[in-house]
Amino acid sequence: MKTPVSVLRLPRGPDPNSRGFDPNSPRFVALCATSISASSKPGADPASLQTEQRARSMMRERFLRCLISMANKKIQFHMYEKVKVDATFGASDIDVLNFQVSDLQTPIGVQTEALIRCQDVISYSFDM
Amino acid sequence: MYTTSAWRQQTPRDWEHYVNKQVRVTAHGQQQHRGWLHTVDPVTASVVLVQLGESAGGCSVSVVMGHAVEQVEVVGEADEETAMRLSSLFRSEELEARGGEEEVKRRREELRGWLQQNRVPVEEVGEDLLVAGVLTVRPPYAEHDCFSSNQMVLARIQGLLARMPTAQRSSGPPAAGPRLYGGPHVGAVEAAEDRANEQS
Repeated sequence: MKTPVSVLRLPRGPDPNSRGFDPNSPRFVALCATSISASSKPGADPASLQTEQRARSMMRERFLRCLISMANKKIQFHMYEKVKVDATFGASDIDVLNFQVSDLQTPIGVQTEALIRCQDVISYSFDM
Repeated sequence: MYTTSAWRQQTPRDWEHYVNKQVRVTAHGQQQHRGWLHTVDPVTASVVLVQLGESAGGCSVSVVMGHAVEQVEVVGEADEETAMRLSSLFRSEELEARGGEEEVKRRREELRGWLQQNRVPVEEVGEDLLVAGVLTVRPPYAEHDCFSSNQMVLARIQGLLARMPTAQRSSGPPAAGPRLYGGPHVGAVEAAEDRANEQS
């Protein structure tokens, strides 16, 4: 009997029927911080929770609009070990774990399509 | 001045305190980034910094990933004009499309007609349009002005808006036929659409 060969799989995408970002999804639990930050202690003041939620949605909306405006732009990524690469930004997944990019200019050549793991990125920049 | 290796553990209200401030962010390996803090993503704690140019248009943006942030220092406050520029960033198209009050009203009527024509229940609540009780479209009623917690409805209505037969719209050719969305990737859906439009 042949021994099975291990297959490298990408993490499973979010549930297609979900209604958006889900901090309880197995994928998020496996790959991200244990909890998203909130001051939701038991018995917390509902009014303060509401202002917190408003702040959260305002900042998340700004961030998502920033992501949208990055589409099809030239982005420079600064990664660990002083690696700097240029690429054309395509998309991000909803919990910001991977970026899909095109024409990734690596030191050993140009990769037409690529996924960049966000944990490997320190910062990225682009011009508007 | 604020130092922590636990930047990600801050609450959204702590982060909000830095919005529209001029900051210096130290990232992994003593990388320094300076700029106006546009926002902090509450999910990943990534910091969006903007370096405003001299002219009204140009500016460069750098984003420091939340896991790499080591230190954030406030170095300056924004005046009113800068704060305005920061808030309207990434929404310039929207502001251009706004036009006059008349124009916005005309767009609302047009959109309401188009939705009704497609047998989608719609009612007016003040300036907003409430679609099927779960989705709100705010002025100036473009694709990016739809708000809903139900993602499937959001994707369908945005698709419908994109196919609205108007001469005014500048967002590329309308896609043929109904479009179905499988994934909840917010940025991904729109980026994928752009690419699809380019190819066709």
